[in-house]
Amino acid sequence: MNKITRVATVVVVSLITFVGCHRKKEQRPAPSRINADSLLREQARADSIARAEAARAAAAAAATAAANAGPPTAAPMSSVERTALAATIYFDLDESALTDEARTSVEAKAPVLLRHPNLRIRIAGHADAQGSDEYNLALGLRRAAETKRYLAALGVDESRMEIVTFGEEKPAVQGNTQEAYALNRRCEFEIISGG
Amino acid sequence: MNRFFSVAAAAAIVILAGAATACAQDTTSTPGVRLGLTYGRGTVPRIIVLPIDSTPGDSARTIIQRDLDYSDRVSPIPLDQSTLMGITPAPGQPLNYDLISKLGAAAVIQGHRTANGLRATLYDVGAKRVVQSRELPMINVPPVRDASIRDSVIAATTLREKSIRDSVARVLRTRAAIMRRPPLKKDPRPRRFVVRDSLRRDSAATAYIRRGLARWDADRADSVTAASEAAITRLAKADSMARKAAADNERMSIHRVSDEVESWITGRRGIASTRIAYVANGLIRVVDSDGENDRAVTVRGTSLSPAWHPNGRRLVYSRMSNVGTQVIQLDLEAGRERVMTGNGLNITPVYSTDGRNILYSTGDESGTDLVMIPADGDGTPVPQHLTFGRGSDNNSPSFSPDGRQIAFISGRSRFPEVYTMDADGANLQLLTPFVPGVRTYRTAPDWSPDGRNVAYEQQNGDFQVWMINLRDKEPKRLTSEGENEGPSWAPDGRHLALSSTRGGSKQIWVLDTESGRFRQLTRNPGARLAAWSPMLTF
Repeated sequence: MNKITRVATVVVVSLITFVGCHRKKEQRPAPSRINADSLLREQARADSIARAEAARAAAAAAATAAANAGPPTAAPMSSVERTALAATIYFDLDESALTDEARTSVEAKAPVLLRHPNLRIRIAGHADAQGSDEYNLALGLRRAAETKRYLAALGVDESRMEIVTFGEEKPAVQGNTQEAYALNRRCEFEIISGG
Repeated sequence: MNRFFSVAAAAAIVILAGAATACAQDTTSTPGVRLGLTYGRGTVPRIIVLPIDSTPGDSARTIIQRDLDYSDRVSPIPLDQSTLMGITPAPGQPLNYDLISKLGAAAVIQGHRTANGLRATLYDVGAKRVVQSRELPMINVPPVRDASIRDSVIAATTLREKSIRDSVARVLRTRAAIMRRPPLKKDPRPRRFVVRDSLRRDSAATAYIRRGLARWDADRADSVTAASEAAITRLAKADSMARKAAADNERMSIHRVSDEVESWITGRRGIASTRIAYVANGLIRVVDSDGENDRAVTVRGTSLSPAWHPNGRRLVYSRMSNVGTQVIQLDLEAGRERVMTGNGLNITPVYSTDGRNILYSTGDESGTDLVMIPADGDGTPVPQHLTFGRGSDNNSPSFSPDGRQIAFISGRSRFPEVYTMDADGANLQLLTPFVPGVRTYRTAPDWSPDGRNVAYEQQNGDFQVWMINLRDKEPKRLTSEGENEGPSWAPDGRHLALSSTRGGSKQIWVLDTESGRFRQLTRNPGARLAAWSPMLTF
């Protein structure tokens, strides 16, 4: 019952956001000049549309995750569950948005977390060696935050997830090739307690 | 009447003369005032630095000549030792201007060591005259004192041990005197027995003293030697540390001589008396502007983003751990650290222009924002927000030299770009122009100390360093060979320290933005995140 209410709320809120954005779009004239303000407005609008769409998709995925999870249990995790939870997810260059592949991987983690309510995890965001070392720290944090947000949308309680960023300081693979970069743009999942 | 006039005139002359002297003194120390070295405008004057002393290698001369070379404003003529000796005048003799003119030099610099420093003299070869001659303070390293330390410790120990041994001997002698005393006042036995016993007592007493002193010496010797060796080691170590510090200070004081002489030639002080902080292998390191004296100033952890306090005595940086990244202040002289933030993400700290505040970027689940805290004071400071990025990244701030504006990077328009805002967070402006929707990537801005330009890195396939003039907003690409990142301006607003792979591994290089000349500063693979200090006056 509780779960259904939550899902319903997400759907309603997302619809309101979506409709709200739509109305604004009609009222505002197209920006004629490129400056900080117009860029920010443009970006804010694009973001809110994307958020609404993401929320709708997440609501559907959350229902699936809840259905897959089954009842909570105190039993230890199976090796299959452990593997699903620990699987690293990968990102595109200078992007914190989850790819379809990453989304699928995160959706496989949610049922594990729902089934084992005592589990607490740490999500560590990483970046590749390209670009500013300092900016990459912030990028790693955004990747971890985005992943946490998606898990939360899938029904996992936020207090069970910590996020941290290592920027480009702890590469999984050494080297300056595109292959190495692709493997270093990632989020890793570590069990803090309950596992 | 007449008399009054002449007195007044005399007074006026005295006052004028005094003023003239005062003026002359003022101009020598004011940067930007040319004293009249004659060389063509827009050209780099060629100079000769004469030998300063007769020590092998003449380190002071080597340092000054290299500093002037690295300034890119003058060009030292390399000469071999015999030529140098040939053109150096004997004491009291004038310079052979004609000969030196043939070597192509516009100016000659000569230095003499004095009791407290160095008397530097600048000759104008074209005008055949001395432009400037002044004694500049220089720190002299004391000579090695190891031998004299040993001598004095041993002398002091010997003296003390002798007096202790004397008092031990006194006690033994008192006891021996008691042993010598006859047991009876009147011995009734025949005299020969009395004499024999007396002789026996006497030899026993003598043996007692000898034995007692021998035992004392044996027991004492080892511990005395150990104690004096320990004292010698301790003093020698303190002495060598003092010498090392003095050597560092001596180098810096020679750099200051170079900077002063440069102002005599070009009208602008040099930047030799500065240091550059950078990161290699997770440690913060500091190196002199000429690449010497490279040392780590942190001992552990993964540290990033060093920035200098305007007084040059402190650094602020961020240190990463498994649970977050903290902003830390480091007192370079005392070696003391102070953690300024909690866990979570706290990165890219810089001091405000007056040094009172620290501006850094703090992160949470909705991105990173710039916040300000006081640099000093008790307790955990409450951060004051300057940006509200609402889910975007806002970091890598750099203050304008007047402290009124901040350049920083923001991803609020999806891709990272350089923005400026007022120091209170108002009046946000986009600095680097771009086309919406086209992927761009510009980060790591650094505002030049003359206020005219902002240097930054930009992705054009690979990463290169650019600068943008704040008046006409015209971006200019500065690098092309290898990958070049993380620029930091020197106090002259002309040179940049940056990390570059142009020599193979990633190292800190110095770029002269006017001539395009590059020189390698560090020999530590993976060196990055350079931060150029202000002028160091201590």
